Amino acid sequence: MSLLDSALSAAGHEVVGRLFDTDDILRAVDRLAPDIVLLDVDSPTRDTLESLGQISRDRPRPIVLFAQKSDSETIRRAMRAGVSAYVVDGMNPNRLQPVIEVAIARFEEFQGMRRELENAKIKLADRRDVEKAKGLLMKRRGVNEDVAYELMRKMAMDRNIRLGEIARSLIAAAELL
Amino acid sequence: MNATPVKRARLRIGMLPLADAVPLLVARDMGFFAGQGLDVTLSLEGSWAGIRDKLAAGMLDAAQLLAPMPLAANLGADRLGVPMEAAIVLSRNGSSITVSNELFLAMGSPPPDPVAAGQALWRVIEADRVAGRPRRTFAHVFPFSAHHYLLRDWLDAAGIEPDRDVDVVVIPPPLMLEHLRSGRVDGYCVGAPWGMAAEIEGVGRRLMPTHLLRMDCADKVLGVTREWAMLNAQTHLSLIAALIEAGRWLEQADHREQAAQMLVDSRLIAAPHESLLRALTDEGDGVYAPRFVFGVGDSAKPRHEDARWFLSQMRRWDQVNGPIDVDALVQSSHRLGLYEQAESLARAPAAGDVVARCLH
Repeated sequence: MSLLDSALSAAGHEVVGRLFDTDDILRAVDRLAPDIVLLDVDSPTRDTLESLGQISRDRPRPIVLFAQKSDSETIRRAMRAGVSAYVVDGMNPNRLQPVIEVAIARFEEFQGMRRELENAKIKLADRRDVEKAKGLLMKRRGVNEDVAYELMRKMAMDRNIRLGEIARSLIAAAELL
Repeated sequence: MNATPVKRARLRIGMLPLADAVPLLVARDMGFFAGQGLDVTLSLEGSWAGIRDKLAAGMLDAAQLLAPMPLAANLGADRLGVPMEAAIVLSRNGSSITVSNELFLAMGSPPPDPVAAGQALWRVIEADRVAGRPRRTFAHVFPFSAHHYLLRDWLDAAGIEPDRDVDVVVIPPPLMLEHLRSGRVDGYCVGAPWGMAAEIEGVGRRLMPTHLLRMDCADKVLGVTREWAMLNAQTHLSLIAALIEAGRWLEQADHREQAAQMLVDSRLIAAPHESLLRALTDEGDGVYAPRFVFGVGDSAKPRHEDARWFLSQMRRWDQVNGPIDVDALVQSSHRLGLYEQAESLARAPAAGDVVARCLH
């Protein structure tokens, strides 16, 4: 779960709450007002969350994560069937982040929110800055791409700020020197 | 010439922790699946939405489904719209409406009668409203379930408007008790053993079994996708035949006691053992007994009257709108022809076994 947390934070999302199956899901959803809820495919609370979406369209839509290994044929079939589910292969954090980004983008697309455009722009800008900062780190520290990315992610996590912001401060620092 | 060993079809079947998953356990443990050439793995699932998604994505070959689920799938009302079908009813009856001890007392400990209990609840809700107290919350298990429709039907008949006078929410069966205990819900409609379990644990009282609201209503079916049924026609027939045999076995003398012990031994359901042992046998539970029907006469054959009632409830509670070709929908959702074909494959109960039950 901490992998999921850090991947979400690194992608610029705020984790407003972590719940267990036995918690009061209904009141927690009202209190925390999340945009989306990520949950394991085998969580019994799926039925509760799905029914919230049925009652009111502006309630959060659950996004389901398959936390076990699944073969690509299964994934393909699930996507084709329209299952609101995205497969996380063995919870590898590097693969987790793009999966979550895709899931969230698909969710926003579904909601038809205008906010999405703006978000996407920010994310694109983030991604551009992250690429640039990664290049700087690789040159300066003589490390490969993965290590550079990992360094930035750790900085972002330690300071509890978004990856895009870390990238921008690195770029700004490099310009000063 | 040597007989070549027959390759058994391997199947993965999904189920939820409920007493009426017992035909699946019986078919596995009493060898009915094997007898029909099937090698079945039962997969305990966490939610109805999960079962639906896994079935749609081919991760399960077949699954225990709530009876209205194939209709909802074929209407596209279930978010996915992957066509599904059912050719056998796994259980009829078996659920109850339960309320917290506090509400039961406030209602004046009503008798197990839908009208009397409904009037008692109306009086409490009216008193709550006058006193400015918060609305009561009632839970069921899934938007497309007999439990949901029976609960709303009962409230409505008592002059209590769901969504206005009370909140209606979804809670998965294994978490119902905890929600009643903590006061997050005031009552619920759910399948056995979760009604009696509330009494055994001292957190609630049953108001009535739901067969008093609608007798012999289909509760669970065995569902498959239409695609799977087309690609696996022979295996599908064998599967239905094995479950017809399991349903008939469950109606024979003393077999309910054995089956209840199987439920306990399977450790699939985290409910008090006593509630599991008593869920199937009806003994000593009087009017509150779940009165499960698994395989009496043609009780396992899907009935159009159930489908029509579910559809009328979907309309009534705004789950579907627009014109529906009811006959075409019911025919494509309930495969009566397959049931009849499978029935001829099912072996008759062993000689000497006495059919101990009759349909109500």
